[in-house]
Amino acid sequence: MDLPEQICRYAELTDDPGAFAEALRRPLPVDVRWNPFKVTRERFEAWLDGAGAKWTRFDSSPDLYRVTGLPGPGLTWAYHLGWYHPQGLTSTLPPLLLEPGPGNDVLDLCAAPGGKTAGLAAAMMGHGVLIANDVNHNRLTILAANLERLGIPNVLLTRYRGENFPQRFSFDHVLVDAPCTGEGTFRVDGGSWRPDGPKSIAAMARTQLTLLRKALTVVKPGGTVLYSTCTYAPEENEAVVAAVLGSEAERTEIVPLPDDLPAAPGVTVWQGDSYPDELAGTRRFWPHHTDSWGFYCALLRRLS
Amino acid sequence: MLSCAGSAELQAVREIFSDRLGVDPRVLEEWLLFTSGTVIWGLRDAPHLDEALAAFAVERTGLPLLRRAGRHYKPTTVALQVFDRFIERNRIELTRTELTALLTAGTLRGTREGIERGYVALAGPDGVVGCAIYLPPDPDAGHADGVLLGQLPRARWDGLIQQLASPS
Repeated sequence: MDLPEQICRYAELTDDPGAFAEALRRPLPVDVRWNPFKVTRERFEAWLDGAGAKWTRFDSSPDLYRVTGLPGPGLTWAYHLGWYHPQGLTSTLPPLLLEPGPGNDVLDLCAAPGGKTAGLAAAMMGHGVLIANDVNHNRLTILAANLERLGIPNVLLTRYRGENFPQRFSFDHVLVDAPCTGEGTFRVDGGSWRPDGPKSIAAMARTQLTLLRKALTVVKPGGTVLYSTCTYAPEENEAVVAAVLGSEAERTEIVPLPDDLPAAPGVTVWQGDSYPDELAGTRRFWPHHTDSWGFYCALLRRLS
Repeated sequence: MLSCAGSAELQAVREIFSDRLGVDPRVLEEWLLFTSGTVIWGLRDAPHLDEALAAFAVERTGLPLLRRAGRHYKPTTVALQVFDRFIERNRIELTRTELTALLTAGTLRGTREGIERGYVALAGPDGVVGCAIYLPPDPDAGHADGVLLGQLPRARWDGLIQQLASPS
């Protein structure tokens, strides 16, 4: 399988370009996240065993199971009972890195299809205000169906343009899983992802910056915002975060993410542009490190 | 349009989940109730919920608990699954074989002792799967046996019947 030039250009950012390219050509493994709102962990594991599945768990995402031997993760009885949600390893990380707790007020600004919203609800143990927002009606329908199947008890669904989300309520934590060019999903469906080109990256970056700025206006002073994408482009990742760091209006600092994640530091130099050194505290999740989707996460704290 | 549930909706929730299905009323007290169209929604209470509800145009809240069917309310699949371990009355446990037969044919004959006429929680080997209607024997109408009428969304289960029949 030939890799698109748009993705090949990132090889220079990785520690092992050969392993990066090889990982992109491998099929994506099946990961499913146990849903504590519908079944106990013990019963879920017993079901996996009874279904003949082989499974392992992750240190970095303890509720996630990498499974082989299921006929199809969306086609089982347990899926329809809401016992688990198919979700790649890297997609489970934003709620874990944001660390909301029971009783917190939390916003998921671009919530559909809902896997991360469900992860936030699990971290909150179903207690606290959790707003799941998405502007697209069809995506909101999918979001609602997933949250209903998973039995999430504490979610309010709203349908605002993320950029126009009202500033009438302040949150302890905000997740901005921003729309992106999706380069990190190249492995999904056997490499069916197609590049949109540099114009698309630039357009996405503008939208992402607007969304991140909005998030920083609705989070409480001292509260945190987790910015994530499933793309490799530094223009959509480090450059977006760097833009809010440089703004007096946002008054924001980067909270360095843990060193023990299966990830590499954010880049500080890219094609002639340089970003502040703090960007090394953000994390790039390469497919040859995680055997999952390509992903990027940055944690920011709003200063008073 | 979402609005707070009135006394009629509160009573419907109490009658179906507490009176009929035996859910401890204290479990229901954790939920705030709302109505929208034909649905009564339940949402876990939270410290700043009132402020959040006043601040935003909310499309949906929490989970659908009851859906109006004609003049009556019917418990939703997700509500029965969420309240699974609290349901102590009018709960019918089926074997895999029985559940497969019900899902395949839509009905299942058999008299169930201690089960009242009307909506029941239908449980399989993996817990509550959804709703059914139970009709007890009625010799006057020519029904010597009771009968279960499946109320599960057919489209959701059609592809799963084969798996249910397998040992796992």
